[in-house]
Amino acid sequence: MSESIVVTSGKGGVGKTTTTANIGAALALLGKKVCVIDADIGLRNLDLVMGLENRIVYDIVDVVTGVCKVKQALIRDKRFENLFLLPAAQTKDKNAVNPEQMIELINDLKKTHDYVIVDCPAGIEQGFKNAIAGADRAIVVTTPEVSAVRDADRIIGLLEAAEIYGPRLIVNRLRVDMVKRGEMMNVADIEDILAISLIGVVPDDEEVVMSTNRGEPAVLKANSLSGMAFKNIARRIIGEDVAFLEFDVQESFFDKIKRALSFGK
Amino acid sequence: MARKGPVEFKGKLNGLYLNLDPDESFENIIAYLKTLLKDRASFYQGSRIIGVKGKSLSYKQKSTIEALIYDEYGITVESLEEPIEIAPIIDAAPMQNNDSDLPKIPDKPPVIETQQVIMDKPVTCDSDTHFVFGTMRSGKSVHYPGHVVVIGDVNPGAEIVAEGNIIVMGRVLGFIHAGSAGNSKAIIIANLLKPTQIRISTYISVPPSDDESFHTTVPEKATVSNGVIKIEKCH
Repeated sequence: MSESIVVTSGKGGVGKTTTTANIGAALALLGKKVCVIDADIGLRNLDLVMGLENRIVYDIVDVVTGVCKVKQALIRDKRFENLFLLPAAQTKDKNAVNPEQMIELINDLKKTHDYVIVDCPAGIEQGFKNAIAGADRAIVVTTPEVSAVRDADRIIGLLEAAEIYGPRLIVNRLRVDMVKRGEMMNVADIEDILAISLIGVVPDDEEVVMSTNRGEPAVLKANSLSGMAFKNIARRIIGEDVAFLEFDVQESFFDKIKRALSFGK
Repeated sequence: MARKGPVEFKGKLNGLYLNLDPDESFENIIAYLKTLLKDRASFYQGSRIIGVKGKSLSYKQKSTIEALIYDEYGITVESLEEPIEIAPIIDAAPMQNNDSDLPKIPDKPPVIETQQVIMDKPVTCDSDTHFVFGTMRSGKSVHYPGHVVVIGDVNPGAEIVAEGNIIVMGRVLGFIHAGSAGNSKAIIIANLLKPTQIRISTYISVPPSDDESFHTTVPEKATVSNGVIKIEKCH
């Protein structure tokens, strides 16, 4: 039973592309046949984050306009067994594709893949409408900031209006130390406002910046906390019941001294 | 019961009747009735007049009163006759075993007299109520020329503009405006009132920013009082 999932947020920069790349990779590591689609036409990033930009020949606009077959446009990520990318176009914009074309494309891809994951652009206009067309489920990504949560609320309303019910929430870039100090919203506050069920919490991790630069999804790094979180999310997507990680990093003695002398953070 | 002025409205089970001072002239009565209705027309709207007490009226007088009350103020006049006074039951016979000697069934029901209800009816528009089922998320907007009831929360970024009252069975965290057509008697009631901005008629206010949690056990009510919007707990 194939499934199409759209990763959306409303607000830009909260981690949709990172999430798409990492859960796509994690699902592939679990043995699933995955295709990730970059729907951010004109501002494509997914290929960059996955380190596949050098291999782009055709893109999504070429496919919907019939220049090529979808198979020709798909780029196989050689690090994984069954992970493919359909890149966006960089020289066009969001009006180059319409929702009907997206639905047809996704239905086509669902025939040959277990999971089709769509990286939605920021905003609520044509790009968003294109990305959610053809989606069975939605994942809403937010960071623990009031502006991101406000936009996520709007997006959830729009998803409900488009009859995509039961979106799942990912809280990204959580900083447990700030939450402890009362400087950052905690996950319970966010769940209270948005009232949708949580599928994952990803801690703020330097590793994400580094892996983006290298073009290697964080799930490939063994001891990365964010990688672990994304892998857990992938397991929950396939239906496993996984306990949420404890992000309390144990303080070393040196850290304690540092804190007492107000060095470092 | 002492009567206040030449005309008084008295409430009964199924309507109001006019209690007229028999010593007053009909002209005075009409004049007083006009003032009374002008001040409180909205209160009596939808009421039914079921009779007249105290003064016998001629047919012409009844017509004049009916014209005034109904045509000008839309108050239904069912009758301008004198109501029948019914005496209360004195006692009821005890139950007997013997079938032939059944207890006396009282033949006249007791009078239930209600005092005129002085109720500060918050808002007086005849209009309907619009119901919203479910939480209003950011971006959702409801504008309605009547009352609005929300069964759910009003999230920040959502807005309600109603000409009547607004009742929210949930939390108000968004923007609400009651009495938008200018009625400052409009009220807003919610389980929690923490709107981004609250307006009643032309009055605007922001709630105090305190560290109160997002959960209260008693609903809160917002009204206009002494020229400002006051938020208090519902008792």
